[in-house]
Amino acid sequence: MQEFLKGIFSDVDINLLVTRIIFVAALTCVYFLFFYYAKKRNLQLYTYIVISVVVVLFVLSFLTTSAELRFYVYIILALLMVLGLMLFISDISRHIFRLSLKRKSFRENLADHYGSEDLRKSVSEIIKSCLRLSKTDTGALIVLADHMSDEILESGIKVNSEITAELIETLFFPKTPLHDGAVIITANKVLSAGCYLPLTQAQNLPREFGTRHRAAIGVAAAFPDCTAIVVSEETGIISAMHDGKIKRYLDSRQLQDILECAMGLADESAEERLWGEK
Amino acid sequence: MKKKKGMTASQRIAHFFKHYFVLLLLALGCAVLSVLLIAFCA
Repeated sequence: MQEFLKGIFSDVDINLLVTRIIFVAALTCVYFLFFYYAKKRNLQLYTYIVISVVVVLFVLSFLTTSAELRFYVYIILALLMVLGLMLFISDISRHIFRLSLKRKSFRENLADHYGSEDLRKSVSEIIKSCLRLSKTDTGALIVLADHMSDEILESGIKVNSEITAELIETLFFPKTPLHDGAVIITANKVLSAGCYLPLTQAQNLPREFGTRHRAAIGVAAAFPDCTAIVVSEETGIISAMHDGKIKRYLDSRQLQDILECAMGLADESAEERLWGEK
Repeated sequence: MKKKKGMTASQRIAHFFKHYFVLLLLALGCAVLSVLLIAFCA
């Protein structure tokens, strides 16, 4: 290996150098993609594993002969790539889908179609409904998302209506068919109600977190851009979940900040103050 | 919905690099090591 490293710098073939630079750039992109999505999904362990494997292989290459190592290097690097792709394929496809949405903008209910006044009105309606639901100890689960998967949207009943406090309260009124599920809000519309969400399997959650909270944490982890608001049925406590982070005991002011961030009304620094660095 | 207000495209890129600089360095390190490995083994 030492001779090889010396060789790289002694006989500089321009074509080989360019090829290697392009190869390094491409691989940097691939590794960065993996690390980026691992960070988004709180799977830093994957980042550490990849780094350790590459470093260990590199160190091993000093110790053994190339013939023994070649097979393992190719297999392990290929496995790392495939594993990364498999782990984050849903995120990658969602982001590609979102990019195509931005280009074509074929979806009618995007935020660009609404003024900030309309969005602020919706925020105040959601706050009003949450406070009233909290006062009456009525359980509620509201998910604000840019784009929700069709699977989740179709698990509920399509509503596609303007956001009003009365509508949200009615949807969560006990003993009605739609109350036991999530209300999905995209842009300025209540898209669907009574939706089933993926539950989190995390073990280190407070005892008082029931299925509703677990669903909120699950959806916030699965869709890093979405924000879930939960009103506890037992205690009336309002909580918010976003990108694996939980905020509890929210008052109307905090709820407003969170909703404004979710609706894209706040700037990036306000979002960082609220949820911490991404 | 998530349209960030008050940030130009260049600010957004700067913000992205500020947040993911360490990850980018790690990725670059891994890529260089991988290329050296592959070139060495070939």
